[in-house]
Amino acid sequence: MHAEGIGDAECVRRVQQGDTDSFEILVRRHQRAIFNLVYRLLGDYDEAAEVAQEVFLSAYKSIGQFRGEANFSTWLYRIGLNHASTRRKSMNNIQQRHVPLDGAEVIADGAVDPAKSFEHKEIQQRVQQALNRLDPDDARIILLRDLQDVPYEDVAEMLDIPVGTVKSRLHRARQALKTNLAPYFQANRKAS
Amino acid sequence: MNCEEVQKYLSDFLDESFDIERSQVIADHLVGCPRCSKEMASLAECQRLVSGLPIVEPPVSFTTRVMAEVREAANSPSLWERLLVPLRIRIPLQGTAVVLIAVLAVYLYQKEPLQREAGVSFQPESSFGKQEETDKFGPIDTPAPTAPGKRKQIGEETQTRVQEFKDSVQSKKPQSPISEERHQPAESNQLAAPGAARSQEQIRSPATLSPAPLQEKYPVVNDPASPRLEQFSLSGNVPGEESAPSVPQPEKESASKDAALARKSSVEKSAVSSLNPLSSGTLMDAALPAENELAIRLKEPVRDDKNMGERLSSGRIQAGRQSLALQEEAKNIEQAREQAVRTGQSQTVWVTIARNQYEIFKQELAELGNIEVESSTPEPKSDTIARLSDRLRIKVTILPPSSPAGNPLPSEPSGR
Repeated sequence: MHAEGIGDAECVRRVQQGDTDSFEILVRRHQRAIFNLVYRLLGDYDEAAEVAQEVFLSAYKSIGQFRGEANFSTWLYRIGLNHASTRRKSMNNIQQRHVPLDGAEVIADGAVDPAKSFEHKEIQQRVQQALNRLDPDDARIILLRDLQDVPYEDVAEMLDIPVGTVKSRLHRARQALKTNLAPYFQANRKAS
Repeated sequence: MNCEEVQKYLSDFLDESFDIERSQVIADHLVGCPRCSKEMASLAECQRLVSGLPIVEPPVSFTTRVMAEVREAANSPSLWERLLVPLRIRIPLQGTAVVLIAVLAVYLYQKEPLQREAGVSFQPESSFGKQEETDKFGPIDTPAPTAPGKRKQIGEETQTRVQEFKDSVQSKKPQSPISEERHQPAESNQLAAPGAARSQEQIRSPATLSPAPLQEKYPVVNDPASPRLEQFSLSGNVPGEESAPSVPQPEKESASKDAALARKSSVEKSAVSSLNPLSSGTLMDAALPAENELAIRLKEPVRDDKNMGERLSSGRIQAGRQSLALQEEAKNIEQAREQAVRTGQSQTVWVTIARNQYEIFKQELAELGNIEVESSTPEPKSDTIARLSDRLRIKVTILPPSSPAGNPLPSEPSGR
C-alpha cells in the first residue's frame, strides 16, 4: 500500500465512495491502538483480537454515517470502547482472570535481562489484574488517558461527558487503581 | 490550600493541566507536607505503571482477516437488499397476477350489462325487427344474474317459444277476415294479424307504450289499448293475475290504483321488473292473451236509455263478479256504440277481459244488439300461452242498426 501519506479524512471519503482498499490504510494505521485498548480492557489476547476485528468491520459498515465532524480515530475509539465494554460484560469472572505471560506479547522495552524481564512481566500482570478489577468506566478513562495519552477533550468526546467530569472521574479511577495496587506498593517498599 | 484541597487536585497536577500559579501553590504544599507528597508519589507510580504497559502487537494476519471480512461485507447485499431481493422476484409475478385479475374483472363487469341488454332485446328484435323502438326502453335488470351458459340456454328456449308464438300468429291470419276486409290494402300486412301487431307492442313494454300508433292502425273512437296497458303498468302484475276473479273488491282495487298512482315511478319500476321474465322469453307471451271476435248489430231503436256501463255496473253490483277492468271496457264499448249510431258506420273496439268474464260480457253485449259474428282462435298449445290465456282479447265490431244504408256485415267467421 503506497498511500500511507493520505490522511484519515481522505481515506474515509474514498471508502465512502466505494474504495474498499482505502479502508486497509485505516486498518493498518489504527489497528495497534485499537487492539491494545481492547486488550487492556479485556485482559485476553484472543478476545481482544476478535473484538478488534469486529470493531473495524463495524466501522466499515457504519462509515457511511461518519460525517467528519470528529477525528476518525476518535470515532474509531468510541466504537472500540463500546464493543469492548459489551464483550467485557459478557465475560465471566474477568476480575479473577489470570493474565498469561506468554510470548504473544512483544515487550516494547526490549529488556534482555531474564530476571528483569520476568520482574517486568510480573508487574504488568499485577497492573492488568488491577485494571480488570476496576469499574469498566474507570478502566476506560485510565487507559485512554494514561496508556493512550488521549487529550482530555478527546476523552470527553469519546465518553460523551464534559471535560471537568473527565478530570474528576480520572482522579477517582486513579485512586481506585492505587487501592488495587496497594499490595504491590507494600511489597515494593519492603523490598526496597 | 489545605491537604484535602491539594489531594483533590493531585491528579490534575500530575497531568500538568493546571495553570502555573496553582501548580506552584500545590508544589509548595507538597514540599512541606509528607502525607500529600506520599499520595502524590503513589498516583505517579500508578500512572507510570499503566503507561509502562507494553505495546502488544495484534496478530500478524489481523489486517488480512479484517479486510477479508470487509470485502465480503462489501460484496454481500445489505439488509435492505436481502429483504428486497425476494421482492424483486415476487413483485413482478404477483403484480402481474393482480393486474391480470383486475383487467379480467373489469372486462367481465363491462361485458355483463351487454349480455343483459342482449338478453332483453334480442327476442323482440329478432322476432319483429323493431330495433329503433326497443332501444328506447333500455336494458331491463334481471332479478338475479345468470351464468352465461345458462343464459344462452334460456335464450335458445325463448327463441323456440317465440317461434312457436309466431307460427301460431301466422296460422291465425286466415282466421281474421274482419281485419282483412275492413282496412286498406296498404295496411293489410299490419292488420292481417292484429293480435300479432298488438303482441309486438305489448312485448316491447306495455308500460311505456303510447296509444298514438294504435290510433293510427285502428280507426276506432275508443282504443282500449291505452287504459288497459296503463293499468297493466300500474298494477305491476301480469294481465292474467290482474283480472283474476278472485280479486273482485272494488275498494281494494281503487285503493291499490291510488297508491299505485302516488308511487308511479316505483310502480313503473315494479311493472318493468314484473315483466323482466318476459325478457328471457319464459313469460314473454304473458302479454298476449287469446283472441276472440264479436260482431254485434245494434238494435233499432235503442230502447234502453241506460248505457252499457251503467248496465254492467248494475250487473256487477248484482252479480258481484265484474271487475273494474270490465267496467272500463264497457264504457269504451258504449262510446263506440254511440259513435256507430251517430255516424252510421261500424266501429271496432278492442277489449281485454278475463276469460271467465267472457260469457257475462257477451250477455251484456247482447243487450245492445244481435251478435251476428262470433269467432275465436284455436286454443294455444304452448304451456306458456295456455297459462296466460286467462286473459281474453276480444275484437268487438259494433255495426250500426239495420237500415237501407247500413254497413255490410263482416265476413263470415270461421269460429263458433
